[in-house]
Amino acid sequence: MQEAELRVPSTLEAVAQATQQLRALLPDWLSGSEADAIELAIAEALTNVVQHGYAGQPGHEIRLRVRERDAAVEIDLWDQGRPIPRERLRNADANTTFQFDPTDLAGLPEGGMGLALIKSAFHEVRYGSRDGTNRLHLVRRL
Amino acid sequence: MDLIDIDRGASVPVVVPRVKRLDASVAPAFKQQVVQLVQAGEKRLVLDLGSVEFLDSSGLGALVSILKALGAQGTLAVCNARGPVLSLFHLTRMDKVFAIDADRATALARAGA
Repeated sequence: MQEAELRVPSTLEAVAQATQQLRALLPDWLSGSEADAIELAIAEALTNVVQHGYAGQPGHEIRLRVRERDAAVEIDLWDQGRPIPRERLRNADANTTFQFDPTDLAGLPEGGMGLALIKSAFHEVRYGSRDGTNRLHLVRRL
Repeated sequence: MDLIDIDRGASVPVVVPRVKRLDASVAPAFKQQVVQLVQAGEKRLVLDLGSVEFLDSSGLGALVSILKALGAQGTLAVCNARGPVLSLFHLTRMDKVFAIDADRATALARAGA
């Protein structure tokens, strides 16, 4: 079993760097497009924590762990910021978030797409908070 | 920092991002620099994404903002989106919103250059 851990400072520059580091840690059995989707999802998750969880404040940290099991890659993120509202996570879904009217220019979404992208990249998405620490648990199977 | 190059070789300006990753760390400044062009009077733009390797939802949101700034009378023709950048347009159904051409010449023609 392979396991690696990154500690990501709460800045968007650090998020970009960590996302690329994570890409190199992903197992070879993922296809290029699966790895792309995971890289994107982790960028979205880390960005969410920096912008919303830590309200854009530097000086905090996100712990990121990647583990490869038999036929799955598990990624965990831990942070001590404001948790993702339960409703927002539950309602985020690629089948609803991206069902906007493409002809309604003013109504096109400029944000709020991150959680749906996270959900669409993984088979399993679990989220919880305990003693001030939030944990996002993501699993992609073969 | 200049995040874009502007190629004025044709009658419609071609905006070329100078970053390989159009993500949350640069999206607001990128948006601002392109919207400035629109505010300066440009109604038609080509956006060449050939050098962009990574686009996240913030970068995509910036493109939507640019589209809104151009308004219904304006034109934004995107070209050279590839790999994960093109995949994000499909996944989010934004390929139904943006005109995406395979190359710059086609995008310029679409924009009426």
